[in-house]
Amino acid sequence: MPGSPEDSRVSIVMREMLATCADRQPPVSADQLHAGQRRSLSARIDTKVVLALAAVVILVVALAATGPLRRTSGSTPAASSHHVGSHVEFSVRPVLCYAPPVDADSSLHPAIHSSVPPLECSAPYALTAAHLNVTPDSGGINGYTVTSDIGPDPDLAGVPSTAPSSDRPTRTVLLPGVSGQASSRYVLGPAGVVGADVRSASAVHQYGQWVVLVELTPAGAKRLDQLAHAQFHAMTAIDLDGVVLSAPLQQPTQTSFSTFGGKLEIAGSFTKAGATEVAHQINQAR
Amino acid sequence: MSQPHDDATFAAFYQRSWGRLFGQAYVLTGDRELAQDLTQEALLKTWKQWTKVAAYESPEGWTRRVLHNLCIDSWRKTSQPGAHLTMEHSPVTSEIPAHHQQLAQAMRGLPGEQARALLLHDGLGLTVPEVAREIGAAEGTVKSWLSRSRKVVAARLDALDRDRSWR
Repeated sequence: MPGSPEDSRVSIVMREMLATCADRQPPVSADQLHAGQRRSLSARIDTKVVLALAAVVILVVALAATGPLRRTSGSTPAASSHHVGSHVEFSVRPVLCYAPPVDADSSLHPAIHSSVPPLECSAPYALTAAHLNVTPDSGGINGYTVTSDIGPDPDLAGVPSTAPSSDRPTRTVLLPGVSGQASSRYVLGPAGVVGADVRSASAVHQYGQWVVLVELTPAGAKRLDQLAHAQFHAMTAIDLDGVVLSAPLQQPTQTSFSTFGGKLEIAGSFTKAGATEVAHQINQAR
Repeated sequence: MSQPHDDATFAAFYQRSWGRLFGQAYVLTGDRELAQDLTQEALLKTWKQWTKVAAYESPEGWTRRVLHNLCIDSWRKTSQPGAHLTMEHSPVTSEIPAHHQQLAQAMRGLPGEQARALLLHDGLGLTVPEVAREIGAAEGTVKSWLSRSRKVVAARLDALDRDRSWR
């Protein structure tokens, strides 16, 4: 996943914001729009107040100290256990589908779900290459086009995220993303690459942003290529200790698969400290 | 006011462009409700001019310009101090991740043209000449805007990360 000068952090966050909106449907039909039936979600709250609210929410999120690697349930002992010496899990897995935020009821009791229910994505929600329909398009905005109306599988709303103790490489798992919000979760298939495949990980500053470069062993390099090839024009995820760090499309601007050469680059919204910490954790996972 | 043919082509345009336009309004406001309102407003203006706009090379480009200006106008209207909290918490607002809010707030601190340029270039992937044409500025100006405003916004994102604790 080589970066380009356009892959600045600003660009990444901006494109992420655009992507979260890309599959939104208009709230009213075109007919309703010109018939004057615009719908305002804000229910005519004064926009001043809406923005003041937004400012307050920023504060709350910052105070909650949802670090990029902390789970939504960041205060539980499990979430910080890797800091007191237990083993960190690192894996690269295929993304099978998105899942909705966990229902409040089930998230209250994550511990009692130690027996893992079978995780399956309903066919319409499967993030297969055929469904995603990625087409390289050098003239397009992103260098490719993708069918972006595949939402989360609603059947998974009641299924809690996989507990760290059940996050095994051979299992299909349901994991949250890094945002600290429960809104993005992923169903991931068995791992193609695991911690033992890592030779070293390091934080590197390039193109104006901090990234984590992971070098794999020769066997790991082969496994990464196998996974990425199988997921060509679909998605793979990097699972670090039960949180999805990143879930990129595989080579969407290319017409055919090309080898990663044993090098994996994790670009996110990293600070120097953040990238260093992630590199350190991946090294611990070896 | 319109022909049935216009209705159909506008409906298709509206459906096709909604997600993209809405996303741009989200980047420029950091507020999904306001973004939805402004996207509807821009599309309503488009509809009123549709006979003319439909013939343009890029109808979406026209609507995009209208929308970006509406978003930037909204900054002035909403940035007055003294707003106070009386309404209940909006679930839609609360879903917005902190780094999205920080980016949008940093955009709001930029001169409007620079925010537009940054969105067009870094967000939508337009080239510098394309951005310059859309905004009506010299390419050299656009380049210096981009490097300056990118740094401002990146610094805001970095500040957010510093506030978060790694433990």
